[in-house]
Amino acid sequence: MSSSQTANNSAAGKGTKMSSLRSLFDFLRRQSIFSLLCLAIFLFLILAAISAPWITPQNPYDNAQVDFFDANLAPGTVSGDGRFVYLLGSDALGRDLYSAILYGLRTSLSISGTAALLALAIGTLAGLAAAYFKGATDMLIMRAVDIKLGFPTILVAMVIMSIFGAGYFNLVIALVLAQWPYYARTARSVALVQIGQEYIEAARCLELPVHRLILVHLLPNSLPPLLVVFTLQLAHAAAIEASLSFLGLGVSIEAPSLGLLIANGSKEILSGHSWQLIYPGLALVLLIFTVNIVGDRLRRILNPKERG
Amino acid sequence: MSMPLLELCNISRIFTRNDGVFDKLARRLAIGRPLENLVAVDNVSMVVNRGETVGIVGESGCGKSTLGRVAVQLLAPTSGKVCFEGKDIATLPAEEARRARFKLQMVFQNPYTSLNPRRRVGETVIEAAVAHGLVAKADARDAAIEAMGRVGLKPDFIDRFPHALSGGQRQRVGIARALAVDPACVVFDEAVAALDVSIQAQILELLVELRQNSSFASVFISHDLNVVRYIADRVVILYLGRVVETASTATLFDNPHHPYSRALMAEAPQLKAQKKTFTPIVGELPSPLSPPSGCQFHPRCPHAMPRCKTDQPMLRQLGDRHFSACHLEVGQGEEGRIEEAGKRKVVQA
Repeated sequence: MSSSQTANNSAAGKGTKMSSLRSLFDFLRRQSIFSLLCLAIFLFLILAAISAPWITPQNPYDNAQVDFFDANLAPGTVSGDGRFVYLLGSDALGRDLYSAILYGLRTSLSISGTAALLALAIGTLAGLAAAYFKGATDMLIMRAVDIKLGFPTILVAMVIMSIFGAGYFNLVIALVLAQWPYYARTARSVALVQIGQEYIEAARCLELPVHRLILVHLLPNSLPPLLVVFTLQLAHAAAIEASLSFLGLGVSIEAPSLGLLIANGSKEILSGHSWQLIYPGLALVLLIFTVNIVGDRLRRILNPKERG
Repeated sequence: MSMPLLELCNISRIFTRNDGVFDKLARRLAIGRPLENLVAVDNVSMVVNRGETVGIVGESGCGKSTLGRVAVQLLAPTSGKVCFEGKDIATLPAEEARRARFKLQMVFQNPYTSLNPRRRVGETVIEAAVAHGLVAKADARDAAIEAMGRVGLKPDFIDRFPHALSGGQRQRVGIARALAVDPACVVFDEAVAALDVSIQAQILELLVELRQNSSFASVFISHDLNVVRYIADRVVILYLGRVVETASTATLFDNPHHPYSRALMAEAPQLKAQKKTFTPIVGELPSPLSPPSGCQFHPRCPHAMPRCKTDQPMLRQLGDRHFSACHLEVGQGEEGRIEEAGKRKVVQA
């Protein structure tokens, strides 16, 4: 986001506070309503996840706050002690579903976000290094990528989770290991095209240090396709995380994620408590969908040819 | 004679097909494809003296650009050495070699790919000078404006991105970038070929002006004889990776010896002559994968003799700094030229 903001500043010319605010406004006005809506929903989801403890009536994972006699209440029912309304109903254990979804979103977002960022960093550097140094480095990195891609992502993640056991950091590690090859492969192919361009030759001719050449010249020009991969993989990470939790291989039961809520809800669907599946599922779909739309928009904004 | 600034000694550059493991294995078992070598540059020697402009001319695919890239060390030669101020760069210690390479800069052919699209003009121009400590970070902006001024770019271009510039302006940025690091020698690789004719003229005038005001030597690679004639002190003519003739510009254009040079001169478009006919050189450029034996020009040469098919002619000195690789004696074959001219008149009539 920071680079698009500097673009705004430059468009306005002087970087004073007033004009940068105005140019940000101008910039937002030029975007389509649909993508703005998705951005708003995405930001809203993040904000809601962060502020969950303050905007929810109960901590659904604190047994002292959960009333078992309020189990399977339909949306809109007042709680047994009359303190609050179950906006989205309650689940089989009497937890407020609205609170549980926000807490689950918190877990899901932080895990998939951390994992996707780490995988982006590791995979991109590996891919750029493979493309730039060629030879043995290239061979080593890309064969590792091929081996990983030979297995289904979910299988790799499952194997890692069963080896290391459930837990927050193990899940992040599993997701990073499962996802870095996608970035590496994309980064390498984009970088190979860029390295063939004369500006990279010019940079070599000017004897710029290798790290500067890779980070300042190669990386920014290879980034747009990687951002698209990032958004896809962020959504994918959220989905894998949900799947693993659904399968009982995700985070521990004490800090459940959206996937675990969906898993629980799916057991209740035949009992007629459909809200226990629909609302967590809707939250996950909304998250993945808006991430994709925002990412696609970001890609176009970051293309300098579409800047003023 | 003083020591030349840049000396290329017996440079060859061979490109080999990049085989995978299986191709290599198959060749071991004698069932694979044979290795194909493309000799892009074949045993070329040339010298660039201080402050001099050397033009390199030839058809496309004759190894001009490869030679230029070898000269600035973007490509390593397969054999031969590149000497900067008398020292072989390949044998210098790493830091000295880096400093020597830094003194050799290049201006690229395509102004649309030679600038980083995500960097502002000012950053592009001054980045290397700052990275190498030639300019303090605090003075970078002023230095960039000054470097841009030298090539006729207005200061308000400093914050623009390359996509907001025209081809000629981009090429000026490329020139400013190369000159900002105070190079000893600049290789211009088809630096005006991608530009409109009117812009070409502007850039050429700029180059002439820059050369008058500064001391850098330059190598000007072009397929356009008129451009080279305008700018170069000395000309090297390449054919299929070999030097066929080299002389000072005046000598070469007034008195070309090699039949290939003559053919090139004869067909260069001229305003005065109002030529209406065009006789291209017979035949096509042979494949560099399987070059002709002996003199590589013999299948297309109007004066080919039997020995041209077998003996490769070496460069012979014909006059002061005038060398030619042809078996013809001086003056021989001249009558052929007159005859041809006569024929042409008949055709016109």
